[in-house]
Amino acid sequence: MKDKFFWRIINAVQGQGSGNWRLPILFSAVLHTVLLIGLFMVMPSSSETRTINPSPSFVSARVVTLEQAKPKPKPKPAPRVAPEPRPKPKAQPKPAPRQPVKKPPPKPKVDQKAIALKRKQEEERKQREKAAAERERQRKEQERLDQLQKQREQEMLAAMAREQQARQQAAQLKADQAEVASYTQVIASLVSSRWSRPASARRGMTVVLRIRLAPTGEVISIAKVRGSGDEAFDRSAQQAVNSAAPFREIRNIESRIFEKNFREFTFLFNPEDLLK
Amino acid sequence: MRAYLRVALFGFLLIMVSLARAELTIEITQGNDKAVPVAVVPFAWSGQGVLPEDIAGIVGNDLRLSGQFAPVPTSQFLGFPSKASEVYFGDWRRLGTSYLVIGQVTEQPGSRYRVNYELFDVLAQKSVVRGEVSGNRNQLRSVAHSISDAVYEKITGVRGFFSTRIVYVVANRHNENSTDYKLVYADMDGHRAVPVLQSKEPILAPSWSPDGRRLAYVSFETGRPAIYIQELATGRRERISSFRGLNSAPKWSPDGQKLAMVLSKSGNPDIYVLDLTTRALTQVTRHYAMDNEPSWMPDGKSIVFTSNRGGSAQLYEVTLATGKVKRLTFEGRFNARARVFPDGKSLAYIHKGKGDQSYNVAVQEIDTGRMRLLSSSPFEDAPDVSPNGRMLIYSAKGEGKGVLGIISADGRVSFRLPSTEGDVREPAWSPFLN
Repeated sequence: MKDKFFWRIINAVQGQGSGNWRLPILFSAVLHTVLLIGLFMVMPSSSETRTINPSPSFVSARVVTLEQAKPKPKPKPAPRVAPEPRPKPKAQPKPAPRQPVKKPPPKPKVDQKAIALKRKQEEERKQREKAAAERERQRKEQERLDQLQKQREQEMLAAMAREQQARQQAAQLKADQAEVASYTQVIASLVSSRWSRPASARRGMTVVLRIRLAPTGEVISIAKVRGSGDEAFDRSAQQAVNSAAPFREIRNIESRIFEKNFREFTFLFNPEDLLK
Repeated sequence: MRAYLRVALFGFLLIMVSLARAELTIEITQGNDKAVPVAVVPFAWSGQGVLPEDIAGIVGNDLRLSGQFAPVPTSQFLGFPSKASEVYFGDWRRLGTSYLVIGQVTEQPGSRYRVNYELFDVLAQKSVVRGEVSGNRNQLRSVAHSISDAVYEKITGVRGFFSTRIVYVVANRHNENSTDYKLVYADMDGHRAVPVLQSKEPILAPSWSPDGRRLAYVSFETGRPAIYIQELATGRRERISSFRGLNSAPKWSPDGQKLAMVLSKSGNPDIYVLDLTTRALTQVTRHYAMDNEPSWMPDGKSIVFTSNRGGSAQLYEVTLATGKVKRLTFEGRFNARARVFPDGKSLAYIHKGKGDQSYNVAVQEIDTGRMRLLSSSPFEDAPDVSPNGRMLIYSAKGEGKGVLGIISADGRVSFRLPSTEGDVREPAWSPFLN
């Protein structure tokens, strides 16, 4: 029994076990939904005002704390709490009372002796019953402890599963972020190299464009979300995107990442190398 | 406790994962600012004979001159559309053009021409602007320039300067005793040059009135320098100032009411301001050094001038109300002949550095004092700024005689205007004329 648990834990840590995942999955799903709903309610539906490049903000998700938490798996063998007290109390009382019972019947005269014997027997019986009750109690206590132990192990397993999942997600996120960052850079430099600012352009002018891309890198649509007020400046930004497109490089990106990041995204044109 | 921490951490991670779903924003903070490729298709002509002017050619040339456009050579064109319905954006995109200009010319009664044009954004595949201009045979160049203005303004967001004019002085030296001087009026691209004044004696320092109708200049026609004002349309002239000594460097105030000038009637050259209506003369600077070459700040409240009061020629600014003088240039041994940009934020002037052999056009931000040299031919003089502040014109010595150069204010492109015979100097760029 214990060994099985132990293996399951090991498996879970190694991420290959087919153990009981139902609970963690359910838990995770519920949490996801709650969070998503929360996010949608809290976040503004149109993210047009989010002009800051978000990349620095999730670099902080390096999960340093998790890494520290890693050594945790070791304490798992700890559940060796119960030292198995059962066999000891059973053995003592049994052999003693059996022999004296045979002697009394032949001599009825000996009344006193009989009474004493009877009393003794009575006492012994009571003692036996008491012992039995004690045994029962101890058994039940043990059962409860076992149950508790089992529950605790299961909880731990679930927690580990969640942890594992979170760690995987974090690792995935990190990898994705690196991927997104590199493609972002490619796109930015392509557009930047095509951006010919008009004479009217000044520092402080900004234009926000919303782009829809096909997985082939073709621009499906460009919409001006927020203009600078200078038509020529805004047009130059749109021209830069159009002229840099199609972004063929994007075809190499995993479709999951594409859908999440590049299917639809925002350009913020904010010239920092111009005079005011 | 630990369990709580774990749950919290887990939740945090989940939030991070969800946040990563937030929309990606790519920020573009730098541009390349290459000249924008534009195709100007020869305009369709449905009349008889040959059109006297190649309108598309003029427009293309104008745009190239601005330095902000790179016209695509006609030889690469895959088609010659003259109507919107004939435009195949894919063709033009393949050529790498960002914009396309097409048009047609039709003959009107009275030997007039009507020119229709349309500008397309090739990349966005849509029309940006279209218009119609008409004129007679002699006005076809103006028609073309006004189309250039419309295209330029639409794309750059800045008013076009192609319909503006320049004046300059040409000296034709026949022999030691005989030189002809001409004051010449021309399109800003040097075409359609006509003399507005001819003299056997030197003509100097032409300056435009802010309405573009009159010129002030110095003429030695009487044997001594005097300042004249001439109406361009009628040729009517008036002598404004002929004091003893120097009468030079007239410069019209931004409101057109006054003329700043240099007079030496009290001994040495100082800056004066003449009120053109009351004819009242006010002395602005009073210094034993030579003060010269005034140029108004756009608000008309102060004047930038050259003075050697510091030991070398440097630029100073004098506030008219207080007479307070402030030095503006500190770099090099020679900074002179300033012109203030229309926005009042920069100066163009002639600079000679320590140990330099050459005099060059420089532009300086007034606020920061930061100066940069624009060009590097050996001897440059008399810079003037286009009314939109994007271009400079100056004279340069090329092969012994003066020629005119045009350079973009950022120094990226420069051109020599078609040279005429004679020594060309002292260009002055007109204000906007329409």
